Amino acid sequence: MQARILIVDDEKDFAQSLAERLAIRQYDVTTALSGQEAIDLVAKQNFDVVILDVLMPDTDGTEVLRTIKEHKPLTEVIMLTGNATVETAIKGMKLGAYDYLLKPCENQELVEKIEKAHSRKLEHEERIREAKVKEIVSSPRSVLR
Amino acid sequence: METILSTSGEAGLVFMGQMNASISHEIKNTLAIIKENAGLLEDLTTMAQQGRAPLDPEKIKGLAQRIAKQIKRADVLANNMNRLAHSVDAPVAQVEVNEALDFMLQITDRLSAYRGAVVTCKSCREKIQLTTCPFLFNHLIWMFLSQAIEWSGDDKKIEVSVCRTPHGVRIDFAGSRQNRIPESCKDLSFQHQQLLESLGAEFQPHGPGGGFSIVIKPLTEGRNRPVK
Repeated sequence: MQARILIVDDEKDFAQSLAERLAIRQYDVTTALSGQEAIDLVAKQNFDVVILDVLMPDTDGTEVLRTIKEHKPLTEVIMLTGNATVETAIKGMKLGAYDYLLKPCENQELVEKIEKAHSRKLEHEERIREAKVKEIVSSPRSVLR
Repeated sequence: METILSTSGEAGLVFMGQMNASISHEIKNTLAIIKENAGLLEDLTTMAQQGRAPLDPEKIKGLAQRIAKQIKRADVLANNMNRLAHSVDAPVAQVEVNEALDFMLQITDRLSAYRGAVVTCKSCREKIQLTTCPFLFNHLIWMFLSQAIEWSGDDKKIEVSVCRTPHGVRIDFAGSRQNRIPESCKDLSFQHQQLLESLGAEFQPHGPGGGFSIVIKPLTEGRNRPVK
């Protein structure tokens, strides 16, 4: 299954062209042009990977990351930064981001990170499923809880 | 040889760093857009070569226009960076105040936006020439604009306007809820006071809820001479 991706960037032309390139690579892509729009979309839909610009006018990217991780902890986040210094990206990774990339980034590198992030999410989901199955097998009554 | 520029000290260096970081960050954003659009052109061409999808001339034209738009944007940004860098060329020079104000609001636009502020400029119709230190003038505008944003509460709408006075120029910073403005210059930070003093400028609060003004007198030729 191809990853469901959300691109969050206030630069419309960037978000649109990146979305088109990822769609050509068969990903299911949605774009959000602000942090708030991203938070609203994540609340309503399930995304596997969020590509998040860390510096946007309306919201601090790390706050958006925090909210995404709070509501959808399994959704993986790749942070994009235009800063040559990576302090914000490191802060983001401490808050649970999967990885970061510096703008402008190589598409191939981004696709590789998306694939790895998606695989990690699928692994986590699988482990949760297995744990649930084990719980049901060991205690069938747990289904009723 | 020390000039008025040396009074900018560490704060001046921090200001220059902030501006350069902000402008170069925006340049990187434009480069990222150019790169993605060029990549998209390549993807579409490859797909056409492989017979997967025909090339749509309108689509190609649109992408080329996007790239051209970003090149123009990057050019403006690079020019601004260059202009800011050249503001230290002469310690004292003639500055057209409306133009200098527009320039500063333009290069700090993104920094203001990151703080949720909307800054508008009401330029004066007449040209106002002021003999001043161009670098310190730029620094002063950003320092007080930044302060106005901080004082503006939740409603971060700031209007900056300029007018000629009998002794120089007055720059007004008005916002709808600027309610924590100090009563006098003495309540400002040391950096604010030092910058005002270097430029021979004065801080004038408008009273409760009413914004503030900075009155700047022209520097005399004497100030152009080495301080020591």
